[in-house]
Formats: sequence, C-alpha cells, structure tokens
Amino acid sequence: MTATSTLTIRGQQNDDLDQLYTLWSFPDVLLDSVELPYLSDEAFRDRFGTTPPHTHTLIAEVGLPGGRTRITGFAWLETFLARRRHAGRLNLLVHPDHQGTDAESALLEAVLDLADNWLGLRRIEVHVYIHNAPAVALYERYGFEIEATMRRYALRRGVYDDAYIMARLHTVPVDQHSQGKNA
Amino acid sequence: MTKPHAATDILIRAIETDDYQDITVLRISGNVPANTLNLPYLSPDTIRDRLENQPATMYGLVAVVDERVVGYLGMLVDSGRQAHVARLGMMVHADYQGRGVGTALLEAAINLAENWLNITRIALEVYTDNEPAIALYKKFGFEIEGTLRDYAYRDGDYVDSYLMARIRKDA
Ligand SMILES: CC(C)(COP(=O)(O)OP(=O)(O)OC[C@H]1O[C@@H](n2cnc3c(N)ncnc32)[C@H](O)[C@@H]1OP(=O)(O)O)[C@@H](O)C(=O)NCCC(=O)NCCS
Repeated sequence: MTATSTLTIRGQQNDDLDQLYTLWSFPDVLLDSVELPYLSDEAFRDRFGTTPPHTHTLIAEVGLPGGRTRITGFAWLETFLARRRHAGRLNLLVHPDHQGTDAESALLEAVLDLADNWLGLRRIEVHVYIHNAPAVALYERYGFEIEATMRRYALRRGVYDDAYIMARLHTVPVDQHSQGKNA
Repeated sequence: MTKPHAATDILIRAIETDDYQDITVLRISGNVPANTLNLPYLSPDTIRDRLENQPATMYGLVAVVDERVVGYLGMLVDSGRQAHVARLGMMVHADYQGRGVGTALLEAAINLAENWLNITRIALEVYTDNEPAIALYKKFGFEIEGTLRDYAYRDGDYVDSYLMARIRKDA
C-alpha cells in the first residue's frame, strides 16, 4: 500500500464503529493482542461506542481513490488513577497490510506526543508476546525497554504464550517559571 | 520455631459488606499505605461502595482474629484469553503483622485459585523494597518476573515494583 501520503491520525468519530469492527474481524489483528474474535455488535458498541474519561483513542486513516477513507489502525491509551496517575497502558491494533508501515509508526508517534506533551505521562507500558519480534523492535525504536517476562500470559493460537512488559519512561521538563521561584 | 505472638486462631472467610469498617481501618494502618496503592486517607463510604459493587470475578478473603477483621486479600480473575490468570493484592493490619495472618490468607487464596477456579498463573506487584512481602511470596513459590520502573508514587517519590507470579505446578 502506498496511500501513506494521505495518512491522517485523528480522534474517534461517531461513524467509525463499523470500520473499526471490520478491522477487529481480521484474525491477524487480534492474534497478537488479548482480544477475542466474534464480539457481538452490541458488545463492541459497549466497549468502543463511548470512550471512558481516562482512555484516549486514536485512529489512523488512509485516503482511497475517489475520496473514500479506510481505517488502518487504532490505538487506545488507558491512563491509571491516583498513585499511578503518571502511568498508562497502550494497546495498538493495526491492519495486517499496514503493520510495519508509516501508518503504524505515525500512530505510535501520535500516542507518544499525546502522552508526553499533553498528558505529561511519565510511564507508558505495553504488553507484547515474546515471539512478536516486529512489535518488540518497533517499541524499542521508540524508547521502550523490556522490563518483565510474564509466563503463561495469554492463550495465543491455542498455546499459553509468554509476554513482555515493555515500558518507556519520559521525564517532563521542570517548568521554567516555577524553577525560578524555587531558586 | 514458634513466633512470639503467633495468632492461635485465624479464621479465613469470604469478605462481607459489613466488614467495610474494619477494612478501612486496616487499609490505612501503619505501614500499609506505603506498601500498597492505598492512600493515607480513606472514607468507609468508599470501601462500602466498592464492596457493594464488586465485579463477579473478584474474590475477597478476610482474616478474622479476636472477632476483628485484620487481614484482607483481593483476587481478580481475568477473562477471555486470560481466564487462567488471577491477580492479587493483600494487606494485614499493622498491629497484626508477623503472626501468620498473611500466610493463612495467601495459602487460602492459592488453594481457591488453583484447586477450585483452575487458575494456572497468579500474578502480583510488590514494591522492590518490601522485603517481608517478597519473602512471603517466595515462600509460596512466586518468582520475580521483572522490575517495573516508577510503577507508583509514594510519599513524594516514584517507586519501582517487582512483578511476581506463581505458575501452578502441573502447568
Ligand atoms: C506483607 C504482609 C501481607 C505479610 O503478612 P504477615 O501476616 O505480616 O505475614 P506472616 O506473619 O504470615 O509472615 C509470612 C512471611 O513473611 C515474611 N516476613 C514477615 N515479616 C517479616 C519481616 N519483618 N522481615 C522479613 N520477612 C518477614 C516471612 O517470610 C514470613 O514467613 P515465615 O514466618 O514462615 O518465615 C503484611 O506484613 C502486610 O500487610 N504488610 C503491609 C502491606 C503490604 O506490604 N502488603 C503487600 C503488598 S504487595
């Protein structure tokens, strides 16, 4: 696919659910997550129809000939509360044809920009199956490090597979103004 | 080896909504907030509300000593592709630590998980400097799977956690 020149990263819109559901129907998309196929329309709507206040959903979309568009990936960043409110967990689902392309890296970059520069998150973690070398490499390229190996993490192709916790730490620069006051 | 103040009678039972006051007291007692995700101030209303609205896959156990709830263990079972996984958190009232209450709670939870709920992975997070808790978990076969940096905020600073898990013997 070479439609990346018209790639858009944006928030979720009301009429996205059908296309998101289509993306959800690719077994290859779900394989490397902990999600289940065959969700009912209702269950899917319950889950993604409204975004909970501490979750941020980002959509990657490419333009098609004739002005139509196709959703090629979506990411949701769930931020935690209280003593973990500096931390969040990222989930990324990308259409099989677009894995390893700009659509994937642009989506991840947008999530990191949101986390670093708008939410001020210090810690973002992802769970990645240990055999998913492309995903491990992608996250390492963006500063994530392997922190833990979770044994028997989840069922994947009928086998209880291990997964890494990978995390990226970001320090928010000290504000110039308050630095001056404290000095 | 017997302990100086080993509690002779520890009853482990399922948690009840009426336990909310004792639970509130133990959650903010002594070193408990510093070693958990609890905040130092906690309203009993919040705890009662949580107990009344537990998800069906949350299994709460309490330890009763002298007719008082002095220990709590909460175990949440995951679903779908992780239906074999449980995650737990536990705490013992500061005045009752080191007398076998934690051991009794954890033993009961592992039995419930592995022998009745067919759970093969039990996971938990523990701050890396919480030696008593780490020793307790190791005693029950939990292994450190890694270190989660800046996992939580505690008394003015970020603190790391170990991820620890116990895999059922036959798994
Ligand atoms: C950690 C905690 C749950 C343990 O419960 P407890 O009732 O105090 O523990 P027990 O008396 O059953 O002791 C269990 C094991 O813990 C370890 N332990 C207990 N006190 C200890 C201490 N002061 N130093 C080192 N190890 C200690 C020992 O391995 C002991 O086993 P042993 O007596 O067979 O050697 C309890 O101390 C507690 O609630 N602490 C504060 C909150 C907390 O840390 N929760 C866990 C968060 S992950």
